[in-house]
Amino acid sequence: MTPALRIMKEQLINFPLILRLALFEIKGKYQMHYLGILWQIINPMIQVGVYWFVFGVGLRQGGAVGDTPFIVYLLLGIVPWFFISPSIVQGSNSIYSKVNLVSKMNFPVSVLPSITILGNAVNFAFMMILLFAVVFAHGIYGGVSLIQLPYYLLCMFTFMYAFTLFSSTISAIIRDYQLLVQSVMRMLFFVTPIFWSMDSFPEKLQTVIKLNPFAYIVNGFRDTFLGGGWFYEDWRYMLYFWSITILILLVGSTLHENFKSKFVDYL
Amino acid sequence: MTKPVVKFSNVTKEYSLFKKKSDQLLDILSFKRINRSFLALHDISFEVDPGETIGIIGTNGSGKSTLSNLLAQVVPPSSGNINIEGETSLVAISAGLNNHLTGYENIELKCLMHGLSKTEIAKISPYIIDFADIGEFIYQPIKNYSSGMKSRLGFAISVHIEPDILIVDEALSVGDSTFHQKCVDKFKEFKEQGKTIFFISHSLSQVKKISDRIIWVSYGQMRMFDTTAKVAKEYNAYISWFNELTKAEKKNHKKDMLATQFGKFSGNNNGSSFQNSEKGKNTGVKSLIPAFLMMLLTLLSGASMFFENPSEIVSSKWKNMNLNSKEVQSENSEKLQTQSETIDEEINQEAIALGQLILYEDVELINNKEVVPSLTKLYVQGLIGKSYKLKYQNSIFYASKDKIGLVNGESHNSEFTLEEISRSFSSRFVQSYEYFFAFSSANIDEIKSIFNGMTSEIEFPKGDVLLEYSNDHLAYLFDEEGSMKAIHVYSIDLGSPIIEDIKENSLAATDGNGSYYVKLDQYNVILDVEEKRMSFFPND
Repeated sequence: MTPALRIMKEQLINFPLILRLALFEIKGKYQMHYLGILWQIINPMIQVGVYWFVFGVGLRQGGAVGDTPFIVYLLLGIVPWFFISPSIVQGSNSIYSKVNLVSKMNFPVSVLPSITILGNAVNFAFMMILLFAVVFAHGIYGGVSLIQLPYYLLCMFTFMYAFTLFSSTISAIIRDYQLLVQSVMRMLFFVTPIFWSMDSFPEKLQTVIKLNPFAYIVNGFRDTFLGGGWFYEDWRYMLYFWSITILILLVGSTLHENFKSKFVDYL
Repeated sequence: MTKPVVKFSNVTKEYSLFKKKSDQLLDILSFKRINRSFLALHDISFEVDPGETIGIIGTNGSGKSTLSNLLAQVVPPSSGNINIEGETSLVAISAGLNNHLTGYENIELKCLMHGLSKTEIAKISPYIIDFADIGEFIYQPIKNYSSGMKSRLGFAISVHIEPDILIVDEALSVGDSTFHQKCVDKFKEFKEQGKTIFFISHSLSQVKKISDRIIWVSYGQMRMFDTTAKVAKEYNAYISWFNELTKAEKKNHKKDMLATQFGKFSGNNNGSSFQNSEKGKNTGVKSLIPAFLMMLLTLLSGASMFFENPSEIVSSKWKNMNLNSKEVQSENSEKLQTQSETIDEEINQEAIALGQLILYEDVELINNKEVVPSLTKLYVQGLIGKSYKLKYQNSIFYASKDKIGLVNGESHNSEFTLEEISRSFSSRFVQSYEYFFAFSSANIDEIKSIFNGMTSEIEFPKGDVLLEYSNDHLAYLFDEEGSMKAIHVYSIDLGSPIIEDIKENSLAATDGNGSYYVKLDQYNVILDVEEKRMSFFPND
């Protein structure tokens, strides 16, 4: 347990550093563009538009999912996904791509995935505002269940950090792993209930779909905004999600501690 | 005597050389260690006091950069101990600069990474800009810089973050002489503050100018560590000796020297790496325990999601196990079981299912076992609450008593005819019933083609099909093969005198007087009072 605790403490102590380095990362990314940070909104909006057109108007003929208009249903899945997917892919690469910069100084390498996640979180914040606007414009109001949003955000950030810490360590040593992460994330987009609903599947298959931790986050977002239910109601699912998250964190931090001084050797 | 600020004892740095990428992976997993290795530095020991300026000199590939990386604690040694008191700062060309950000932003970024606070950064930024002396370019992205500008900026940042030990690795070779002079001045300032400087270069003239002592490294070994004058003399002698050699001799010399650096892992190193891996294993095993527990929890909770009520399943499984063992223990288990149940009323009578009947395994009617069709013969043993305990095909079942007709003790001879019963049909149907009953042996397709006005077709889960002709108050029931099972007649006139007759002379009746069973020549008839329905089952 100690490596995991040590690494989590490192994140907390270095939080101001993480925050400011994340801002530098965003600045560096959009320095070259005339529209600058606006691309953080334009890019996902175009993508949402495409998915809405293809999967909403094209395949579903604009049909609603239950009582929910399809565009709202889609946004509730795709907004968290557009945060999760690039963060995981870039986060997994974060140590490999930056260890050169930080290796010549005493720098806590374990904050590199955090910086990537936080850098993407700015984009996510914009998208959340957009999401709130669309949801309320459709007259959908989750009521009290909206207060579980912080819980699901916590789930999301914890899982993302645990996973990126694990895979950034692996992918710094074994480069093939990065390609694997990219492919798997692309596949998970279709396997996670983002633009389709689980309800039409038999119960056993639904459970198999639910084993994917991303499904927990996406379903949680829907429950939050559509007033679906409380996170503690399905306590077995909650237990499963947290135990897999902590498992990944434990393994990831142990690996990270063992290899952190040797990253430079593997470059 | 002051405490040394830097202390190296028997430091060795070894790089593994792999023929294939997969060998590296095996090495990481420590399955095998048969790779060749390269001794970049071998058995280096020295001490440096605070305030000294140390030059490190050597030819290309002699291990200068490895030494500087070890000093900056960028790479760990393979074996030996390094003791460094204080913060180190490595000045290497454009290390840690982001090409897309401006010079000014890079100052902030790099200072941040060194752990400076915002106010400290604001304080030293003007000095850095002044020292780097790159004018308006400070507000331009780094990618527009010349290499001289980059190294000047990198150097300026490194010297201004107030390290205790400064390590300069060939950084000055790009700067012009004016900048070089500036650096030398800065070094002097540093020295006056009692800070230690390591200056790494292959140019003896530059090193000579500023160093107090010089370390001469050659092919991974420390050849000399002495005052500037002594080392400079020896180094010059070596260089001139080497230059006088013929081409072939030079080649041979290099080859011989390099050969000492290659080889399998040395015994000395093996011991230390063994120590390392041992330590790693210990922490590994310790940290494996929570990870293993977590994995178990993940698997269990994941598996539990596949069941509706895991706790119930576990407890019922446990109960079953208990029951089984009891059965093994004593053959009287059935007796025990019957004794443990409290039968409210002993019945022990033949019975008939009046309507489709669900048989349950347990008295609470939860686990259903079998569905039997109407007119199935049963044997009712007793009443428990609102259900019957009954025997069917030599097994004990329980069922709701509503649909079970107990056979009357005194047997009645059927005295009814279809004509008599038809008096209870609705006034409209009574005129046409003969026509409809004429097809009582037709199959589903024939019925469909003969009669018009079918109002609905209902398919039941077990394959039965019901064709309803509600305008005529009639429905035909077929089995899965399409042959007729029953004719349902609706809207029975319960006030008709024949109904009373049927009730009195029925062969079987439910306890609550909901259904009655009579037998005609050609049909078995079930009268359902609540539904006002009569069902005619053709009598084979």
